[in-house]
Amino acid sequence: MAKKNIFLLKPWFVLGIFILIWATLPYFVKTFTRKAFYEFQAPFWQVNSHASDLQSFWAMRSHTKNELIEVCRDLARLNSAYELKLQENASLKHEIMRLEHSLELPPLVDFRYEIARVCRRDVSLWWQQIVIRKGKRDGIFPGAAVVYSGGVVGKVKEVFNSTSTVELVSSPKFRVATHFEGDDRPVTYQGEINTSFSNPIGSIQNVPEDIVVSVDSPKKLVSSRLGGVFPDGLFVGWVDSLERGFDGMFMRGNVTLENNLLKLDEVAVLIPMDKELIDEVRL
Amino acid sequence: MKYDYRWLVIVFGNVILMLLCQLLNSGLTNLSLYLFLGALFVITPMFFLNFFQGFLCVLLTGLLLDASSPVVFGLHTFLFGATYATLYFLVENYHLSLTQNRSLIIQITNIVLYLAMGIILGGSHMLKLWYWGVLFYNIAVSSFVLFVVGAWFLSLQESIYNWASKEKSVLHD
Repeated sequence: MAKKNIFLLKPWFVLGIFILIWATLPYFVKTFTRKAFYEFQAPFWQVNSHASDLQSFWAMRSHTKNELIEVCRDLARLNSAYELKLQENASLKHEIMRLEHSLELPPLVDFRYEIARVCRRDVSLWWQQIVIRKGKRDGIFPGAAVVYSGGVVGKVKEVFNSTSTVELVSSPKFRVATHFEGDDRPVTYQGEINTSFSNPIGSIQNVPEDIVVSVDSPKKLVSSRLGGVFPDGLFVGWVDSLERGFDGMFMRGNVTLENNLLKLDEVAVLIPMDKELIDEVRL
Repeated sequence: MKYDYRWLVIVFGNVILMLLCQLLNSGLTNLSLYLFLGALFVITPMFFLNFFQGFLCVLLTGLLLDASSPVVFGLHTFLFGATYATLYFLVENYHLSLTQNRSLIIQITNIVLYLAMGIILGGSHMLKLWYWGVLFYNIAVSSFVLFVVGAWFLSLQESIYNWASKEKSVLHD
């Protein structure tokens, strides 16, 4: 009878042994296993992403020549506008360098843009991340800033051989220093758990009391240089209401992010030109 | 005696479903929906494999899911392993019939797994009512997808398992 009872507990016994083995496994074994299992799946996402690109390519080929001519004309106009901006940018950079030199200020960080296609989006109640098709061999490093034409996307969380995971700005684990446009005082931004069928949201804390926002006149929240990895002034989201914070001294509020964030196909990873900064961010 | 490799075929089927589910979730991101079909990974091996092979299959699937999700490495593995052990215990001791109540057991198992994840990963948000609202909404959508996909997946697994069995008998002959 006792033997039979022991036999009935077989599933729990095996589970217990597994938990014991798992708990005593060295950390490097778990890390290695995780990386190996991740790399096993990564080619599927990449192939799927390439197939999707090919699909878009064939869809574009179906456009008429007239449509292409129209697009080229619009692009030529945009290019001339951007060329003017580039000239303006060059003179402003020169001015900044002159001021840095005369005031003996530390130089601003310069970045290289590494363009990457998004091969997988992974958004749930608990995490929000995307997987991009660039990895270690492209010079991506953990902690690097990721942006798109609409502003901040997030930060690189983990780097693998040919892919990287990016923690989205809307993720509850994402935290960065920001400020309101036209006001340099820093504000702490953090992502929030997102509800279904709505724009992603975040929250801000440590907002000075004198800042006033309303639904009719929302304020733009932009990235701050204080965070270290993001250049100043990149769009984060809109703030249209503030309330008294828990400490009673500062205000807090919700930030509405762009819905495009969850539909991204292409992003740019900012790689600092300064090697020391890369090491700092890595640490 | 030659080793029975057919459990790897069931793992392969689980991997296919997992990748398809990831693809679907990737397309549903702008709706902030997260489909979770974990019950199928746990219950399918119970139909075809013995306890140890099934347990190994469930653990491997859990590890694969853990590797691609930003959770503590081992969370899905542990949840799947514990669910598998519980179901096996119920089948052996309380004569729970997996074939007769297949759909119901799959649905209940999936809800329990999703809720367990909600509790483990919820943190301070668990005290907010809307958190449970969103969680139950996600569970409801997952249950619907499971209802549609479940039968298809089990018959797919059955076909590939039968194919592997034929191959095995041919090889042994």
